[in-house]
Amino acid sequence: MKEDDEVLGLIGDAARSFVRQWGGAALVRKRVSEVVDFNREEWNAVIEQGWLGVMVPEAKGGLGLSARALTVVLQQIGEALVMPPILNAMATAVLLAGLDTSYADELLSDLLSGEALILTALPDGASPTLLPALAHGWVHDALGADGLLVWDDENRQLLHLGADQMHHVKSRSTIDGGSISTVTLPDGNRRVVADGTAALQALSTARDVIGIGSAAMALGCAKQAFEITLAYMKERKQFGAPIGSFQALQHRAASLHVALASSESFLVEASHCFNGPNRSAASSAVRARSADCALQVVKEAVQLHGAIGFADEHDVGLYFRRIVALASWHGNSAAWRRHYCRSDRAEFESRKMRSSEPDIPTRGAWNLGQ
Amino acid sequence: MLRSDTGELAAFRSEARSWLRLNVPPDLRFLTFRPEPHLGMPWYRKLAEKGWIAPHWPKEHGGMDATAAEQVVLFEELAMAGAPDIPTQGLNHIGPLLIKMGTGEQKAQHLPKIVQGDAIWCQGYSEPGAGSDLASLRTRAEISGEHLVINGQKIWTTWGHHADWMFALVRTSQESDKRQGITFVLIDMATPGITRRPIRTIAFDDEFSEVFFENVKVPLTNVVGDIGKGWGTATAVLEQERLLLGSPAIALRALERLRRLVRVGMVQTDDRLLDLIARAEIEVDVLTASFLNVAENAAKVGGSDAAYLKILATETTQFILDVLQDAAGPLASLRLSQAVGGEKLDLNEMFLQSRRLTIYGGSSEIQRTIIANRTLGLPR
Repeated sequence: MKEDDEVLGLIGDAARSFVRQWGGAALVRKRVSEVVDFNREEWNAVIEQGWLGVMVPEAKGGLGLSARALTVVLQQIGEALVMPPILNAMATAVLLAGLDTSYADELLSDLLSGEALILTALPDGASPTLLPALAHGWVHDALGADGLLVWDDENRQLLHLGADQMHHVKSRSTIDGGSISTVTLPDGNRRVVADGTAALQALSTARDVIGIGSAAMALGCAKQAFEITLAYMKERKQFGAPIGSFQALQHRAASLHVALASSESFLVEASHCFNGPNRSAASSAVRARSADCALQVVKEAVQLHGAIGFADEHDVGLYFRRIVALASWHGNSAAWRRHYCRSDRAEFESRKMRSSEPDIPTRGAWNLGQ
Repeated sequence: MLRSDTGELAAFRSEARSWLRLNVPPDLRFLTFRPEPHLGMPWYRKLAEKGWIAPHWPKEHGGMDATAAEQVVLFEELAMAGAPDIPTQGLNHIGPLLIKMGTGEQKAQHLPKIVQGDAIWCQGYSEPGAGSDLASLRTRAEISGEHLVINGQKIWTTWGHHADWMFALVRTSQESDKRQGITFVLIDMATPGITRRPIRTIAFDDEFSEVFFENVKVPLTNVVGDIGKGWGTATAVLEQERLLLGSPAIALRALERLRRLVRVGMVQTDDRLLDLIARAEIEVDVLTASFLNVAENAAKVGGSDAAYLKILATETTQFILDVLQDAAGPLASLRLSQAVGGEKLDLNEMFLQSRRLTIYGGSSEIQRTIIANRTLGLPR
């Protein structure tokens, strides 16, 4: 599905105008310095945009657009440091729409209407030394969630935790003003949304949405950090000249441009592959490439600012911390590349690692290569 | 290429694959060095007869008018088939330049020979004192009646010792702006007064040469563009040249070498190496996506940001060959190709050769300065 440039232009414009109201450094600073409650008004504004159903078929109440449209929105979201769990909710909507059961449809309708904020905990294992060993899934920036989908690997069931079961969720603050939440399985009142291969397939799609979506957010965010840095290089004078005239710094900026421009091209290409056989390979690869690129950009952005870049008062640090968080979402780049290796596309090792059913790694599998 | 082949593309790929399987000469497969003309040009002509020698050229001049995706399919299939490298100065540089800037006579004289493989071209830009600072070139050309009389020296001329023709920048007058007073001229390498001397490279081949000019008479009709305005002529198709220098063709060949090394089972693929190999594969996809994106945007909106592609293509190729060197372990320094299990393995020949990629055609440092000043608007 490839909509024309006009539709993408419109959705991009809508996102730009949304983030003018709801994005920006001030809100992030507030989240970092104090305990912030879920902002219902802001979430309602997200619901009004219809973004959560961006990739959900129109017949199920969505916009019926492509992964490209999703990335166009999320690049803006990332650029403006918008924090609510828009990406995860988008992925959850795709997951639910793919299940095609009446229970899933009901949850989807609640999610899209704003009735409930349902997110998906990806079963990507936890580091036993730091986070609860019994966690069955992770979800990032889940503030405001009153429903969660979590995979019970033992019984091969996808469970829905309702508002009454949110005590199974434990959240910790992250450096970007967001949070990591770990989820454990409920003892009783097991609401099964789906099971077996169908459930795994849906989860795998959600993971791929999160892969490409977090790539888009990271690139949007890194691009903005780069723009801020370029502006500073043109204005800041030392030794009687703008520091941007020094060749040593120019070449580093040029390297960042090469990394960013190529990652953005890769994002476009990967989003066009989303409905084809290379979906998982493309999303994992673009996520790994974008995270590596974004980390390179923000580290350099701080360095090129000098001391003011290290000072809290300057906004570049907000982008730095956001990227450090985003780059670790559901695993580092090596972990996402490991997932790429399991896809049909990868030439090597794939035979050994490929299995006949959709691949959702069980506990611990996402901490490889650290 | 990550995207799935559409119907037409899939048909083209399948045709290319079977044709290449039958037609790439077995003794030229997976060669590292560009085969010398007596070996390589028959293959060039075979590809030309098939109509696939100039995918990016317009049909009226013997090209394919191929889309970017079709070009990528051809690059991928050529790499997989182990097709040998061919000379590209005619196809990628002077050909497109003449199509845009040449006179009717110049086009009629030269374009068919480039497409048919009847003339090998070299580029006469660099001089001993004018490398990255190209505008400092000093090879002089005096106008004498209907001729230019050329004296001076070119160096680092790729395939200069094999070429039939050279396109060159020569100085026809001294101006305060160094870029003025340069003239773009086509030189028949058989003209009396030209001496060529091959230069051996660190990769053990004679890929480039020195070319000396002593009172070399070239007809004024061989000037492309106006006298003294050669800098503008040389940069007239710069965007297209950057696009071609940024194609994934060479990186795909490098990746194919890495794949062959792993396939024969000579490499212990531990987690670390697997991750590097995955990165190598992904980086080629990134390069291909960038090439497609830039080319498709250029076709759609007429402008493009191709400046980053040359850096990306060459550094990606070097990265893949670094991984290959790494994977080869203690055998990394073995000279010449190795035969293992019926496969010819190149452990470091392409690695050695690839050093030149980030130097020729405007070094990576020059490219970065261009990006900083023109694309990013950083002050000079």
